[in-house]
Amino acid sequence: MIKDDKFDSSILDTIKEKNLKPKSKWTFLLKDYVVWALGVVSLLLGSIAMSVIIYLVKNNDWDIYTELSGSLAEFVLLTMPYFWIVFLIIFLLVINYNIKHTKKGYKLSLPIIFSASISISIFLGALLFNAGLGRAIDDVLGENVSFYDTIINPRVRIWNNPESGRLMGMIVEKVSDSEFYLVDLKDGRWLINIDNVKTPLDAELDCGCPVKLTGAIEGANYFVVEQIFIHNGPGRGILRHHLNGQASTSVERHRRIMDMMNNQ
Amino acid sequence: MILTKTRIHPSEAGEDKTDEEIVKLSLADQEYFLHIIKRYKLKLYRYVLRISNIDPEEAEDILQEVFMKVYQNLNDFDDSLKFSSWIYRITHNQVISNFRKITARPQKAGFDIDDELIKNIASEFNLVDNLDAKILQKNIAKVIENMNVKYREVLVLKFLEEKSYNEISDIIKKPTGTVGSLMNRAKKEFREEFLKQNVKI
Repeated sequence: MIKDDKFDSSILDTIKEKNLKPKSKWTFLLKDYVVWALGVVSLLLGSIAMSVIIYLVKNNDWDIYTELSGSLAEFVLLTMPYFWIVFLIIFLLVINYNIKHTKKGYKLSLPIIFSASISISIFLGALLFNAGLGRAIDDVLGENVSFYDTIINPRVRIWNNPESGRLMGMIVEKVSDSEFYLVDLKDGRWLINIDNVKTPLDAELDCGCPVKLTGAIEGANYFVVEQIFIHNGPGRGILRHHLNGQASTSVERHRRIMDMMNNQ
Repeated sequence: MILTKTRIHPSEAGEDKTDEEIVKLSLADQEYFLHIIKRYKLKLYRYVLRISNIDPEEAEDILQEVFMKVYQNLNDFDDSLKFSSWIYRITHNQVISNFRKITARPQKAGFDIDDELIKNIASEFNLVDNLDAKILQKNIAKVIENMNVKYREVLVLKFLEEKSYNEISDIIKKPTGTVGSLMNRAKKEFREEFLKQNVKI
């Protein structure tokens, strides 16, 4: 049948019987635009994830990693921003899928698409990081998301281990020049002694100041400090979240502390 | 003198037109689409048989669906592509979408290769020329028939449909480099299988 004219006419007859019409041009254009738009959105979201990754990596505790883990490799594995890396990979896969589904996307090989999308994500991510987006996102998530310290940024838990000599929290009350009260991430209240600090801070320690401490427990909720660092990096939001609860008794003090944090 | 204006029927009017012109004409008058069917039905029919090993009736069914899709998607045809690559791509996709159904059934059709194409393949692969042409034809057909479909398809497109790497890339929607790699692996597999077949003779 294929070799005679019946085949040809049967196709035209079916087209007429079923009243088939060529789909309009805009249907295909719309599909193309949707594919491109999803690709661009994925690229932007990937870049946002990259800006947070840059923020977390840049503000990792590189200067004291030996005190936090056995080796540099262990420290890197311990503090890598896995959540954001997974987030970034998902968006890179979506970008790859979208580019492959553009009209000419199949001409590009997987390594080219991946290296191009990673390069663009790094470039845009660096711009967004410089604009403060990485920090802002980390702050907002720390303040509002309950699983921030378990899934999004579990490295803050490294500093939530006073038995191992590490403590992070917010100064809530100054007792003297060498002692103050601190509230940690578990809402524990500690009396902190800074008499033995190796390198005193230039900055003044005031109420509302977020700090990271190394040292040892010397009594019930009494912590003697060896090193003290102002904590102005990732995890600020979760401290701010705790601060909101602690400062509720004094609106004025709360406002002052929040202002101080915003200015840092 | 009285001039009479006679309209030539589309089935006759489009013969000297290019594929791309016929596409534009078909969008205005579906009768022109007949030229596309006439030009491609045998080529695509052979192609479907060669890459899928199905029986002729089933190949015709696939081809009917292909032409329906081609007609419905005429507005999606991109001028930067050769029309033949585009229509082969639609056929390739249709065969792939029927692939599960096809492979679940026993293969019925033989592999049809003409003498000139045997020469093409024999010279490309430096196949022994002391074999009888009929045996050579049978062996080549048998080897291609039994190959993995992704390798078989690139060999079919290159040596039986005589497409360039760029055209193959457009048809199977893979980068040209990937087509090159597939081709190398396909040739290797073909050569190894062909040697095995000869040993069996």
